[in-house]
Amino acid sequence: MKNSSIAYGIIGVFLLSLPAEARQVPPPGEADTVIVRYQQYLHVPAEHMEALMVDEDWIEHVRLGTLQLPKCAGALVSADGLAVTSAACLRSLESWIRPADSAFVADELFMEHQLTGLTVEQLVGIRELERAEDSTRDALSETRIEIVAAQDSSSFREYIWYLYEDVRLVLIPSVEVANFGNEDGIYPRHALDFAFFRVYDERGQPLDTESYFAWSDRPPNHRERLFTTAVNENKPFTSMSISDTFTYNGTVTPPYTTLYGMLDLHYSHGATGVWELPAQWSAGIQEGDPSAALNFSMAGRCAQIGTGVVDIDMEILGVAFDHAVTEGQQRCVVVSTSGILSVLRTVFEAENIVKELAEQARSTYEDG
Amino acid sequence: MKMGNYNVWFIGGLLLYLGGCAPAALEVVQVINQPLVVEEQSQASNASVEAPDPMASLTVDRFDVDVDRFDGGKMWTFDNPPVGWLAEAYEIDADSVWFAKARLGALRFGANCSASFVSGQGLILTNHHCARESIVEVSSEGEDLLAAGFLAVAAMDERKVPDLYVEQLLEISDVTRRVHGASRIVRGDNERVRARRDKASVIADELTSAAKMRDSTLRVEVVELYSGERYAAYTYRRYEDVRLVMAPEKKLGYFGGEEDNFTFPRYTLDMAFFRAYDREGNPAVTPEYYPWSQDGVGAGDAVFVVGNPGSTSRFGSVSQLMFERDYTLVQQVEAFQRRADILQSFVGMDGPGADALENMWFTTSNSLKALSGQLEGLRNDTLIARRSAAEFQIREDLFQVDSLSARYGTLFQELDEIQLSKRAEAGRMAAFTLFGTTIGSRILTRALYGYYYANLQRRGYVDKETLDEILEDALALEDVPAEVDRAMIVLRFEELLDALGAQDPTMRSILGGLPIDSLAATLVTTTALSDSAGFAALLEEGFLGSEDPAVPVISALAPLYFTAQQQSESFKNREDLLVAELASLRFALYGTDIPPDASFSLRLSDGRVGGYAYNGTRAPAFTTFYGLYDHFYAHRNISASWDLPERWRDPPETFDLSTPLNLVSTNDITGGNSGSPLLNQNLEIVGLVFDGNIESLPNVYVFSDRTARTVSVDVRAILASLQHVYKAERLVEEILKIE
Repeated sequence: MKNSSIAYGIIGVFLLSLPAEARQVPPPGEADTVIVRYQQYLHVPAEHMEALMVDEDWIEHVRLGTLQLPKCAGALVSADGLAVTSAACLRSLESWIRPADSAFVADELFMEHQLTGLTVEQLVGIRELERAEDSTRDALSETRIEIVAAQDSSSFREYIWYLYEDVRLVLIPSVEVANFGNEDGIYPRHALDFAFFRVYDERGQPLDTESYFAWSDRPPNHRERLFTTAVNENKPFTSMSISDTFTYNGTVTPPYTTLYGMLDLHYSHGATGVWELPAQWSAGIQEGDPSAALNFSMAGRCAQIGTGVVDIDMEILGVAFDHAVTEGQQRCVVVSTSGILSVLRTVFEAENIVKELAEQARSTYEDG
Repeated sequence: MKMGNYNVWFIGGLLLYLGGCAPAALEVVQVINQPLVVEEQSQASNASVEAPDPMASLTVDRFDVDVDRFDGGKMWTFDNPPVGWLAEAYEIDADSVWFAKARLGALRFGANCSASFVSGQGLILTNHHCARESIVEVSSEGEDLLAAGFLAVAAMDERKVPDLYVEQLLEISDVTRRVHGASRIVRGDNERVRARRDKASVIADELTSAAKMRDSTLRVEVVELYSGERYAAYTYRRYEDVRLVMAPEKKLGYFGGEEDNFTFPRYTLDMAFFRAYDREGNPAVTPEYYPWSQDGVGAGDAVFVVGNPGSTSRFGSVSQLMFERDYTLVQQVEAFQRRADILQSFVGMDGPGADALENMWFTTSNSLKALSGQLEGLRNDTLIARRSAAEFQIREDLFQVDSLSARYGTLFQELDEIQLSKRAEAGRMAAFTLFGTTIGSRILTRALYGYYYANLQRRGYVDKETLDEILEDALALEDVPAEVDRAMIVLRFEELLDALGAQDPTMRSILGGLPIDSLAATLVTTTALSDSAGFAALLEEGFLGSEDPAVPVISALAPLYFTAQQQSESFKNREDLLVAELASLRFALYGTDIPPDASFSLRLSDGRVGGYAYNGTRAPAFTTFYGLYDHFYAHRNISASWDLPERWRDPPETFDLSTPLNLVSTNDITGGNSGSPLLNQNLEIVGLVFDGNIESLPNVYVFSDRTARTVSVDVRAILASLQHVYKAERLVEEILKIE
């Protein structure tokens, strides 16, 4: 039974302390700006689900659409196993062999680059157990079983993780774009920090799945409730936060930045150093929709870097890529799917990826 | 605005008003503050106040800070131009010709802004926020030029602005000895201060008469410098026929709105063009204009601001500064905050009084932001520590010289003692913060004017001209909605009760056992002072003799107010004399190399273009039009502050959006510098100063160029907009001297 493990007790402290915390928070109201963390899908209080207008199916879908990478999360965005995460999550891998800061674009399946040694996990089941011995330990070889105990060992919970070991790189922007301006830890921000990878099944075929998030081409609404899921093995949770503005620098932050802002910084700083866009980017951005949203921020820290940020309809609006502290305020900085789509079209000219994303979307935007 | 000739209660650094009706913010400072001789009142105060130890609560020690050569700033006078410094810092051989050219292109614009000539035919460049009132004034029936913008396609389309004038500084002469001579034999602080001011006024009149004999467009002002240690006669040419040539839409001129006020990065086209005409009605011949730089400047380049900074407080004692920090500013910030809270719930409403309400809101939020920034600066220990270190050095140096220690030995102690007296009175003063200003109840302010006017008339020692001026100010107050007035009256009486106590006899007599709400409701519904017409009629028939319900209220309140004002005036006069002594001591120790505090007279300030560290990253030296669109699209669904008019939403292909829009530099500016030219070392215009960043607000007390910056519109943005968006060909040809 490779890859399975049992972690008795050790992480139980974390795990079972959370439901109590979740129960203490009131159902989210109109004025709610704080993060509400729902420990486990089994434990979202009924009144919260009602207030959020979500149900068990919604929660299960969000869980299955989320992938776990080493120290990161990712989100499935097509029925053919295409997934998105933060660029830093892939570039930091040991198996990363390409020139460290370059871009990579595979607009055809055969061009995709296998990330050897990378395993991504999907939390496919959760069971409450009376005794640890009741665990389905000898499940499939592609699963990893994790059992955690309550602090007093009176009850147990079993997590069943599905493992995918054939993961291929689809697209990643160069470092100068993903980390534009080297502005770590702040918002407002102008970084295209994202990457696409594809999950393949045991037969070497792109994963056939229904559990993906439809790609959205809109920016978040002001004070919109958005959700992220980290299936972090210590503290799996769904969290809700709000995209909004806040005061800084004597003024108020924009609710989101746009690709125009990226051009502004490029030219403002004289197109030099960390503010220099690669050749063709300025023209490419302008050929597309420079008013497309680039980054936005949500109250509180990110659930996990690389996690998908989804709306109530389970459409994906962005990818969390950095924790920020601006004038004492904790924010999670997100790269918008709207801005990503615009550069996919006119800078990367990745027509097939755009098509694949568009096919999944409820509203079609393929033609712009 | 004649600074120094009469005593203006001043909110430091507030002259750089942005947007709204620009002069609204100035109106705040034009309060009724000339003390009346009032009936005897018990002034005894038993409050005991302990002298604060300047360093007691500081985490930064004065020994930890370096006093910078330019802590006092770089607002150089043309009386004493910084020839050596410009050579040292920029290797510029600035001779008298250079300084004359720098001086003559610059203008004072109206009562509170700066401007410059940018063509030989009298073309003037200033800020949109300085032009707002003019734009409204020249709008015809049915036109909304503030919203739509304005362009005079032909010369005949230029529109004359009633009462607008610009002034060019022609000559400077030192009159210190004459002014000081007048106070030498006078005893008493108030009398000495008055003697100096009277003398300065007499000299100004005398020199003006002489100048007018030569040229009727000339007039002379006596400017008080170094807190009255120096007086200079400034001869101005006044152009009284000034016409509007071009103004962008308010959405461009005020892009970013109240939120972006005092901030950078910024994307605002805060510009307007006027033209000076001569008495024959021809465009004025102005060979001293600044040529337009088509290339602009780059990061690191030397730049110079020539304009009229209004007021700074960099040379008083540390004890004065601490009083400012602990009392004056705190009281003002709190008073503005309470009014802002009220106004915020009303602003945006339609109907009568909506405009006045918006102006009041603008002035209040602008002031609140400026004062809060100053207070924050003072609460940062480094600032006080720096001033303490400088003061400690003066004290040390002073006692090295016997003659100086004999003359100035007790100076700081006396200044410290006045602060103790002020502290004892501060609570009572707090009740009247912003009383009699344009911020607050119109009914109470009109009542105060009515009371003041009637008393001046009755006593008969004020000339008709002064009376008329007061009347004009009083009648200029615009009506605000009754609900706003009512809330403001309630607030004022709550503040009075808080400061004076419910048992105070004045308060008891005014309220007569009624709750404040009832008093306010009664006043609002029954007084004739709710609207300006009723007020004018009442003044005509005699306010104090009328049956108006505001009469007993103000008759009880005004004596209290004027007594407080008188007390405050008396402290201030004493302080002014001591601070003048302090300036004289600085001269004795260090010479006149340090420029004086701002005085709304012409100064030159040097600096360099450059970005700075902000928000965990780096603010660029320039922004571009791409940033304008970034902010428009980002904010458009939730705020109107970054909205763009239709013609800007889809700019022509020819318009290069990477054109620099705003830029920052390290020049020393403050309120009053709005509209100043930013010049390169060849005295070509490269920018139009319109603001300081949020980090620059504490510069009122100590100049720093670490992160404080002057914010300007880049001339390349002005030209590109004129060419590609406004199609202002005539203007472009004139600026670029295309025949």
